[in-house]
Amino acid sequence: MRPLTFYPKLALGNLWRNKSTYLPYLLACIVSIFTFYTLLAINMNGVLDGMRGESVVKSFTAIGTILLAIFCSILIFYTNSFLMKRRKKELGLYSILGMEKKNIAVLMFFETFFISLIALVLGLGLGLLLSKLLFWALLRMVRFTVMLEMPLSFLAIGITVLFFCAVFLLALFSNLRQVHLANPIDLMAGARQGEREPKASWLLTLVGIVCLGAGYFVALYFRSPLEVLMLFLLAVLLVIIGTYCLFTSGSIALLKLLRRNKRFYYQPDHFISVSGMIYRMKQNAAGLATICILSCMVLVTVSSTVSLNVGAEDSLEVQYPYAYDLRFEAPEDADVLLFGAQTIAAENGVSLTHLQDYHRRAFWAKMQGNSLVAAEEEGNLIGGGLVALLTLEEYNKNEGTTVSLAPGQALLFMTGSRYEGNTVTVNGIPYDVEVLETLGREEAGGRDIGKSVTLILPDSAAVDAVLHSGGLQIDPQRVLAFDLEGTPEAKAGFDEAYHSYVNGLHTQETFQFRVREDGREDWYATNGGFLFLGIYFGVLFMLAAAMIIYYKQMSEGYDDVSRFEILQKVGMGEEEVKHTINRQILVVFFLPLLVAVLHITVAFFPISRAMVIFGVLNTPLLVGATLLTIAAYTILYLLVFRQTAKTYYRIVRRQPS
Amino acid sequence: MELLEVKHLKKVYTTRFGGNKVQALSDVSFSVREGEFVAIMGESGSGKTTLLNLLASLDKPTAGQVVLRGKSLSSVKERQLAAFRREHLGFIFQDFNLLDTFNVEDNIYLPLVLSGRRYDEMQPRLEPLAQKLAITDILKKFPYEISGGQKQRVAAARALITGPDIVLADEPTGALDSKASGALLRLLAEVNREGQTILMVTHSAKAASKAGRVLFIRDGEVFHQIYRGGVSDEELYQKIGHALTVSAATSEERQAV
Repeated sequence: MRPLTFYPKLALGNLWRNKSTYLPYLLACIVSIFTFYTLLAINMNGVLDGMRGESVVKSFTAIGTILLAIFCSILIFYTNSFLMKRRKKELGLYSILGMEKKNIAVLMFFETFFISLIALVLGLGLGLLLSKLLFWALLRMVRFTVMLEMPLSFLAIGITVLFFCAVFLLALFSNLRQVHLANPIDLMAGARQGEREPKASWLLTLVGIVCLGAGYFVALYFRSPLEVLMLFLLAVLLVIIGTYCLFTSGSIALLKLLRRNKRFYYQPDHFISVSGMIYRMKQNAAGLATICILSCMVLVTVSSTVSLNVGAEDSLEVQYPYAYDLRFEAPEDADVLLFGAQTIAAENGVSLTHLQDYHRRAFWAKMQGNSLVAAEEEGNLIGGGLVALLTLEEYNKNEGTTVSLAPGQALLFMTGSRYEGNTVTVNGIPYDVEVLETLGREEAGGRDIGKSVTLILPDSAAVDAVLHSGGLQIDPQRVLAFDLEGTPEAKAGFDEAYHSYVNGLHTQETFQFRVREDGREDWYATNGGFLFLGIYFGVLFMLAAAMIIYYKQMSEGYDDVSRFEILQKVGMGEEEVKHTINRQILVVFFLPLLVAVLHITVAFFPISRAMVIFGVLNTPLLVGATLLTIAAYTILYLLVFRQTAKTYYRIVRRQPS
Repeated sequence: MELLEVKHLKKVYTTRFGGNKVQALSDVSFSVREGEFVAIMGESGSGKTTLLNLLASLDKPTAGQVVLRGKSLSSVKERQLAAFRREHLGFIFQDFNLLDTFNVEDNIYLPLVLSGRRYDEMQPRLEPLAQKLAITDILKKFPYEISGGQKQRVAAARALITGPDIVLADEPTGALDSKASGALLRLLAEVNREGQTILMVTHSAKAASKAGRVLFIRDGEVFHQIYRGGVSDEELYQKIGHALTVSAATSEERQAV
């Protein structure tokens, strides 16, 4: 009777002796568990509760978790089958040396047990530790005012353990089946049975096209931000299914088409790479589709995060053209606050710059062609907007210009759309106008949602005339706006002192006090969580994608060793081998990236629509952010590509005899 | 003119850390004339495989040289070696070395494709060859779908399709049953009668008896050779058997001394 520790000991010994093969497998398992747990924990542990758009992020993480579950199972099965291939010989030897299949099964059980244990402990440990670290680092990086905690989630740990135990068990069963079916001689031979050549399925192609088309349609058709948010996930699912189907059937069909083209096929480079890819297209397609989807996820999360971030900064600039903006019902209050600002600025060693000081009278008007007529209603006036009147004297003072206007002449500045023409009739009074491209920090054109027109009239008598003829009685609003110049510390000192000075005034209700920094803080308080999660997921998906790419090429490299050995014996030089490998990897690598870029191009439309919810309206900026993300990702991708090609080449290169 | 000349070939393997030196070939010289079918016989460890590797330029000799058509292999640049092998040599291996990723036809085309030949000129070359080797029916099949004998005939077709100066066969019957072995050897003999130079390494007397000349190699040296001299396969087989017996005896004597 053997002691009870015999099999565990032998199993541990085996793992140790095969460590070079088991290490990548273990790594794959650990990273799978780590990413899966982290995503699940974020979904479950209440980090998101109360955050704006909580439901969106929750369903996003839920989908992510499901996808990751699928990826992880594929990855583990994939790596496991590769592992088994390399170990069959050893198991065959045990069998020949007189170990029964039953005993081999026990041995394999213990091996799986130990590997799973190590993977789960390390994966979860890493998940707990690294996710805390990552959270902390990211919070530091983006200076969030909201604190996101990453508490333990026992439910998430439980689900992770159960799920991966199930995957490991299934992998074990499939291994046992292989060993059980094979006889020792086959095992010894390393069981190099050929794979059947895959067939391109028309049904699969059809399903793929329909799903992809439907996904694209959903993404492009619905325009209102709310619809977009609700249907985006559906579109994502459809596109994912479509991508998988098309990669599977499409790539096989494409490769077979290439093979049928004799001129193309019978060229040294194409010959070997095309046949090699057809040979293991089934695994390849799943792997490629996975890489493609993960790339998409990275691109979507990162580009929308970046868009949100720069878009927010941009819209802050639009909403708050100046760092400080005060608007007074009683014009004389402005003198007090201006004096206060100047005093406090002197105390803190900063100076006020770009000072704007003017009176503004604004009313709602109907706009028809070049005619503006004061109207009763405010709000959602179709064909209407806000008209503000300024005097030339104050305009010249603020702008530092010396424009002069004859009676009947005016300057016109418009946002919301472009002004056409060179005359305007306001409340029945006609003016020749010169259209301004900028006013203060604002630019003319169609960036705002509502239209607004600012008219600069020759003098205050002209302003009164326009108001009178429209039957309007409006007290002027005095506007005071300025920026600060000085060191950040000095600015902060001024900000604090001026805030407490303003809050101490008893006239507080009679004026508006708007500060850009306050606006920024408000924005980050409500939307910061999104930014943070975006970056976090981006990093997570990138890790997963890089790992799958690397592992895929590594395992295939080991598969290809014998193939390239034969090729070199038959007369293929080192240079040609290198060339072929590069070409093969190039195709394998850039197909997913290409498709991912196509997907992101389509996804750009719903994303830019959804951005409206966050107050981001600047489309060129979104385009820029997306392009930048794609470029950055491509560079990262290239780095992984180079590293992989190098490793692959090292593996398949003929060992010097 | 001699097609292949092997002059005082010596190969010493040094283990990785420079410890033990193993002399695989001590001093081998022979030559092969155009159109000859030469078999090299020897037991395991006699240096057969080393010799073949040197002839195939897969490995470099410690001393001596291999000259093919007046050109020394050591004068071929490393970068051009692969192309040189492809153009001038044909290989048949014991374990076939067919690629699973290609069907039979493409496996045979492989060396032509690697040389950058056009598809139009490949096909006419294959047809007569396939007929001769009786593989016309299996051209579209994959290596895992055909028998060992068929695989070796495919490998032979791959070796012959470039019209090499010399075909190097390494234990071509080693993995075949006796029937398939016989068929393959008859084919090689036939190809040889049509003018193809063949050099075959084997330890099977049966296989060697198809050759025109048999070289015996032992302990890294050629110690004997037999010319067919017009006798039948059976008689040559007898002669080889005799030579081997003598060799075994002298080998034992030497060990005893």
